[in-house]
Amino acid sequence: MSDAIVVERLVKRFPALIPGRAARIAVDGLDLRVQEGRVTGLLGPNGSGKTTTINVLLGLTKPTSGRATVFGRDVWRESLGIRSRVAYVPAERTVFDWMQVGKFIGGVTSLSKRWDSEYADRLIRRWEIDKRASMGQLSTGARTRVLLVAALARRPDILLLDEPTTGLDPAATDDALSELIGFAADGTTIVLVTHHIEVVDRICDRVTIMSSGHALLTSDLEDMRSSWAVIDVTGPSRPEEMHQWEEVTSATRRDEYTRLIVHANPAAVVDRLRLLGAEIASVHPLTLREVYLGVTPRAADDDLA
Amino acid sequence: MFHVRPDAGEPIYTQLTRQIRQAVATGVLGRGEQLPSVRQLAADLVINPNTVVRAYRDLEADGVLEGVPGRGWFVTNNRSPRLRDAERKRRLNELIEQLWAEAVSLGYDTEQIADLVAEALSRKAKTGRRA
Amino acid sequence: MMLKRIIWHDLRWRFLAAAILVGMTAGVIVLGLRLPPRADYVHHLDLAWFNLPGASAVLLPAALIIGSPGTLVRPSRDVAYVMTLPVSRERWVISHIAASFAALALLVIACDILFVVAGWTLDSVLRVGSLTVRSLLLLAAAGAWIPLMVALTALVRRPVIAVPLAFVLLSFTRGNRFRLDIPAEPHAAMLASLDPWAFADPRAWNGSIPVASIATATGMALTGILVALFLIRRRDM
Repeated sequence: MSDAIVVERLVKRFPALIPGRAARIAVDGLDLRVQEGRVTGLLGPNGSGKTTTINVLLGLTKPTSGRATVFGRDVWRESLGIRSRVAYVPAERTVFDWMQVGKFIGGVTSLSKRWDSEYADRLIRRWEIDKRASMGQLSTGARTRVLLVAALARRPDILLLDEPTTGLDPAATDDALSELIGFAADGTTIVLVTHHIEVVDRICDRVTIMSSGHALLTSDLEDMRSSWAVIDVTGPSRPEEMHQWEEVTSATRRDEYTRLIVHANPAAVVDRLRLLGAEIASVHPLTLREVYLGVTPRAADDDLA
Repeated sequence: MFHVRPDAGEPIYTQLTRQIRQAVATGVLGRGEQLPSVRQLAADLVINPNTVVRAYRDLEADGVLEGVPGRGWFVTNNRSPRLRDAERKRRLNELIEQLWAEAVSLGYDTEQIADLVAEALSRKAKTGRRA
Repeated sequence: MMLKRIIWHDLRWRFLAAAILVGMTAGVIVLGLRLPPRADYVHHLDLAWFNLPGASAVLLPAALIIGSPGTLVRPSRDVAYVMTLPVSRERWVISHIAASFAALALLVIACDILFVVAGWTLDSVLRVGSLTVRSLLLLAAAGAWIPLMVALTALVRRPVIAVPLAFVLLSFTRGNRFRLDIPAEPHAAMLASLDPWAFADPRAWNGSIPVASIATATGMALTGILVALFLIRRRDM
């Protein structure tokens, strides 16, 4: 399976507006590969560079250095060709406040080569979108739905979605995620930028956790769930030595036991520990949330939903 | 159960799909329940059978109804089958991870766990048969 | 269709401001006819409006106002969304220039209609042919400034900065093109031959084609287009 999106050592520096202030480095050496047909989540706290990365892929922002390609084409030089195959839902929902919903969708239709009007109509009916209202009159959730229709009905090869579930109640979220899974099943490549760990957990195959402009961790979700574990060990143990093992992220001595956080091959680690005479007090698999919190430096809990 | 008005300013089939959706959402039409046949509903509402077909087909495309050839139209059991499949699989994997973690804490290693699981599952298949 | 709608939604207030400016000036011209001595209407129009320096130069500030788009670049949020659709940046720039030009054309046509109607009330019939030709020249002279305004806006990002800045920059150039005399007197003064407005003066075409002026205006317009395209191509949206 080929890569739909390739990002190599991407750097984006925004020059300081006020002379004397430091420039803002939004993306700091990002490597990212998104395979065709997969659903990839980009997870990270505010300011980690997720939105800037998307802006680079869409040809809105010029990379300072590094490479980024979509379907093999350079994102800055060949942006127009890319944009006819990529659809986007921006995090900023307040676009076209003044425009009537029907006119907005009609406008997107006129600029799309593969508009599926039957599908669009079906979604509009199902989600009870009022085409005569102006976008500014709609609730956040309704606007999210309008933007989703505008993106999905273009039948793109790649969907770039920035917080696609904002404003949607649980039933509406289910509905939207169900549509997305349908697209994934048809081979559409989906990149989901979000704070909502649970959304990533539910529909993503792969996740990249970003922080401070680069990728901390990239993994298939199923691998992550099987590979990460907390192992509490009693008996003779030397945490400093265990910390050196390649599977171990951290080894800390607590009062009565040593806690190991393992990111790969926990079964092998368990066998090895037993050979060393240690006793396994308990083993816990880690949730995506726990991995995320463990891996991102000082990630505030209120960053997450 | 359904009422449509030709002069409501809204196409009849839209009125119909909306009412069927509402009935399903509120539980008036239960999961797996059968809907009136196309001919019956068209006769009851005094509308063109094609309108009913169109409404039923629309709802089928959305996963609300399913048409079973030779038997009729039914409310589906799953609202979001794909999402449900993804979640089921995830939940099962979660359970498997927990099983492994607890078994390891008890002192088993991975191979032993796999053997025990296989044994337990094959026993389940056996108890299905009558003596 | 969508691009036009977005551009026009933003353009409308500036169009109104320009329309008021131009409308008042043209209105004064027409009212001036009613003052004694009641001169020949057609001649009066030439003296007061079409000859340069003259009142038609009000179309220059009108072009500057109309020519500075608010939807071209950020901070407009709408532009960011449009630029994620398969619309080329070139098309975006050209659409803005074309829309401003069309708005300016509307103003010129409105003035012409006003002049024709005012003429009827005085039992004076204007020759549509010569009126059209003169108006087209005016439109070309004023429109040549639009690409530069678009380029300037691409640089400073907001019309609220670009328009005053343009006025300030303009005040440093020589050549007072605007003149409003009621009643209008014939005057020999003409604009310098290199002035990009000079070719809009009907008197400049007596005997020869005002090549220098046309060249300056064309050069200005082309420079504006190239700079605008250059800037938009390189900028982060």
